[in-house]
Amino acid sequence: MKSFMTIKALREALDKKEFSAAEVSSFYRAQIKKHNTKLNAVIETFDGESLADVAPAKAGVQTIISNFEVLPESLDSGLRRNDDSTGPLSGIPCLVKDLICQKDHISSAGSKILANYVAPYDATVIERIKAAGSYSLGRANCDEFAMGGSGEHSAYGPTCNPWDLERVPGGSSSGSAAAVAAGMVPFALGTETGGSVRQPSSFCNLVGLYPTYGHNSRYGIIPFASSNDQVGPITHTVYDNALITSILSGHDNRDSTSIAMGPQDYTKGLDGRFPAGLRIGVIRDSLEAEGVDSQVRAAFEASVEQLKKSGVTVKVIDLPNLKYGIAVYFIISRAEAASNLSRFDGSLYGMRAKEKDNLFEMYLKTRQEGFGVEVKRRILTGNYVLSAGHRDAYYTKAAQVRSLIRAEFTEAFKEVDVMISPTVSMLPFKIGALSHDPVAMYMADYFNVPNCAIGTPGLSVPCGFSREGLPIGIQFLGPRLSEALLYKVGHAFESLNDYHLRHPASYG
Amino acid sequence: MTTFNKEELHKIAQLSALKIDESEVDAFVSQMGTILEFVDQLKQVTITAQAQQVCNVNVMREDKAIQRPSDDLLALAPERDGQYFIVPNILEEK
Repeated sequence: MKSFMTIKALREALDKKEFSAAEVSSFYRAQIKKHNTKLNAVIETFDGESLADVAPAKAGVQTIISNFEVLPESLDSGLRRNDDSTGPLSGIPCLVKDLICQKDHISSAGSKILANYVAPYDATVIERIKAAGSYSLGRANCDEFAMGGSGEHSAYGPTCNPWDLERVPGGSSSGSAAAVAAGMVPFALGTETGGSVRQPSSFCNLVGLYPTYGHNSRYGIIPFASSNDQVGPITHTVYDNALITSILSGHDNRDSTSIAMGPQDYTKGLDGRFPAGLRIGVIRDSLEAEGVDSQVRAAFEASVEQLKKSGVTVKVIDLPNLKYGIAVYFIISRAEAASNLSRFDGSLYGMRAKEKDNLFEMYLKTRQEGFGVEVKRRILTGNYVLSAGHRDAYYTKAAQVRSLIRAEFTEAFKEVDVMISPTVSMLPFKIGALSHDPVAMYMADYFNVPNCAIGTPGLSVPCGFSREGLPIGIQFLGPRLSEALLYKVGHAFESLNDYHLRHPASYG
Repeated sequence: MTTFNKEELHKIAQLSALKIDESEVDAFVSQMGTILEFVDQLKQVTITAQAQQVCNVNVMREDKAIQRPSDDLLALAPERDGQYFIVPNILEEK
């Protein structure tokens, strides 16, 4: 077996019996064992759960999708495959962000407060990847409750970037991205509320998607900001990403915000060509906003030139309210976080501080000991912007400005099909470099927070490297439910370069 | 300009059921001040009538109970007595 194989290559090799599913399992388990001590990407590996002896897949993605067509509403029955059945991911393992419930395993959200929480059920996305034949090798590290953009805010210690161990891998899906980049696993599931899949994908030279809000079920995802939270895959290539998103897609009646749509196959039509007549809008801030790193800007501008040379119509788009995206996201996500996290009080599950006499004291102590400082800061900010006397000035205003941003995006998508910007305005930074300055840390998300606030999709694809050899990503933003277009455009862009074929040294 | 002080921190901490150590108070006050100052930029934005429209729709489902065994859920209780969760006294004596 080779290192850094794509899902597509693994599928072909497994089907040709070049190696067995058991060998795949041992290979990745060995990779995790070998590299995790320096990266801290994986919190826990699930030993002895290998489904590696599953038969090689005969079916393509269409088969698994047609299963969902038969049973789109209930995945509880019938979809668990028998040992002799096969799927597009049969024999192909993954890692799962610690925020996503995996039945009979601890799901701690990177927090002490859930350190002993054993998930009583699988999240819908886990059911779906299992139904497709995949299996989870364990739990990937993440910022506590997905709150952070660097992986430094995990109760289980920071994760390092395999491209440079002194630097952050991005976050909050830090372990998911670092693990794929280091070849510990061919793909991982992350979650994103405001950049948490795309930003670490960009920092680790990988492909990551924030889907349209409601595209993937949130059932079984430990919530942060429910009106933004989505699951997204992290992969080496656009094709692999499209495959996983296809498998995750489809309506789930256990999530009332799940879109009533049939299952999709986004791998269709990925031929490396841009759609005829494609119009791409360059977000003006990508070229002019302060705070965009010069090397990031240079790589981005080179990508724009490549797009022009490929015959794509490119024009600059003004989004005057984009600059308010961070403040809007900031207020709304903290408000929702404060409400969501009020459930963790030590009563019914999770950690409970030692306090026998007073109920409120038990809440206080449990939350004081259980939550990290970033989570506390967000709860406090959230309750402040919701509190009497402040709600209209902050929460209501943020919701209104969000509508302005949505209107602006809608207008822009009348002029262009897709918009582009750097995924992250800066290069992967040194661990600890921004921890004293929360606002600077949040500014890293300048480009990938606004579309999350309005629930429209974005795909990050590698687009270059800095002089120090650090990865840089470009993101493609589309209107609601434009995943098929984003994957097609992303795949065509990926085909222009070999960035996605480069891997960090010493992980082979 | 928003000012955020210790009294407000203590009030919000109480509402949030969070205990803040004396040693953390200054850092929280200063960081929250910076954050609130940052989001104050939204005050410059003029809101049009269009922006005040609510575009969400309510999603309804059948009000149907789903039966499932509860043993695994009860097993997560920090403290329990059979089918009951044990917590500190809820009602205090006057």
